[in-house]
Amino acid sequence: MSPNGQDPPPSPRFTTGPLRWRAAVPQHRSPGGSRIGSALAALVLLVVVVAAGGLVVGTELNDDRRFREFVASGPVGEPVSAHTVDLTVLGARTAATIVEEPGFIPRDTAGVWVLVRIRALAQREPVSIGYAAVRDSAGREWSATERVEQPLVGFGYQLEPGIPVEAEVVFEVPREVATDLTVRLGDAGVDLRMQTVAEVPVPVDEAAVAAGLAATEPLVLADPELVIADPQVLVGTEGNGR
Amino acid sequence: MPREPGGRPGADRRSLATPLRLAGVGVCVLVLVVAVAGLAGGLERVPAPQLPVVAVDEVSEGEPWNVTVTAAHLFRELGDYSPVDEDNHWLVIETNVEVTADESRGDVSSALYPWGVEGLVSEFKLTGLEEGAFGADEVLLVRDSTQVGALHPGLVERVVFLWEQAGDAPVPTEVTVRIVSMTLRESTLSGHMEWLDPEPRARVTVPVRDRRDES
Repeated sequence: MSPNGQDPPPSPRFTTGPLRWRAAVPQHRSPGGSRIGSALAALVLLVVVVAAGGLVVGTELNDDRRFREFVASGPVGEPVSAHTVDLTVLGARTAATIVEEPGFIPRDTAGVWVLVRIRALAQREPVSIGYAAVRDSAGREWSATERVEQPLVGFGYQLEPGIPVEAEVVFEVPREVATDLTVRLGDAGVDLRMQTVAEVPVPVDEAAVAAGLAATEPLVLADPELVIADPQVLVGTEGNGR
Repeated sequence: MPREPGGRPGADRRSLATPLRLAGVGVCVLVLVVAVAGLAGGLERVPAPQLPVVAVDEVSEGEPWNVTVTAAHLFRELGDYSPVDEDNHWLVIETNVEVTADESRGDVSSALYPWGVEGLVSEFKLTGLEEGAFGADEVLLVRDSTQVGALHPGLVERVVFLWEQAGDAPVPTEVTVRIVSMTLRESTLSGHMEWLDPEPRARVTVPVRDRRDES
């Protein structure tokens, strides 16, 4: 107590070592309300971090998306490059019944046959068309049929560089999707990861479907043919013409 | 008795007494819960859930295929398809199958299997299914008697499944067929979306018509 009856103001305290001034602190711990607030803030922050992590995990691409195929699209009649092979969709036919050759067993279907005529040209090395499918706008996919021998699809036929080959690829699809198809072709097999796929709309309309289904005779599959009328295609890799 | 400096006699024992007492109470509560659960029947074996029954000619809807079992036969031969052993015969399950997946499927032979039939010669054990689930030796399209390579979305196909049965095995007068479903999910091994977890989803009991003398 000072002589004038008042408490002296808190005096600065000095610590050992370098001279440092520290103001007097009433108490080092924060009041209880502040502690609860800090705990709540930490809890909220934790929840936010966990929720954000969950969102990141939820939006992360799965392997199917991360390694999905590269798609090269093009119109009918134009070559589309599927990396090692150029593919051109030339046209399409439809039928209720097909036959591989006259005299063979006719093959009917619960839907409709779609025969897509393509021209394939290997670019730099021998390749095969290991993947052939049609897909509708809803994402459903039909692989090339195994009920008839596919001359150009599979690893039994090897395209030689610079020599175009034309053939039909045969699909069996429900009637209702026959006019809503895109043909997908590539040199990959079953595993399309990181592969290139050529995509071209299948030129089939309602009239063509109706005509195909109305035909009384089985449609005979066209034989594959080499397109070598223009000798230039044999010495380069640019030519696609006959 | 020597004492730790600053320690009090019996302090360690007292510090252990409370946790031990709590642990004892916990064990007693646990034993009581198990006993009550046991008395209430909680420890009895639970019978495996019965598969839903589907009638003959009724569609079993699901993924990746809808299946309708329509008939069952015994044949000595079926077209060009003969059993490996000439003393054996075919058990033939006749079906309609529609792929409901978004892509063509080449594993239709896994769509169903007969259950409890003795003498099946097949060694094609269906992966991921119960012991005794054997895949068909042949799967044929009825429309042209060709082997099924793949079936395609949205196309209902009449398909027959053939199992070779030993000639000296009991001839079934009816057969229970279990229909398999699968789930499209991300594989924990490959990271890709795959059809996994096959399991029976329905059962059909179908009379077997013995037609071994017809073939």
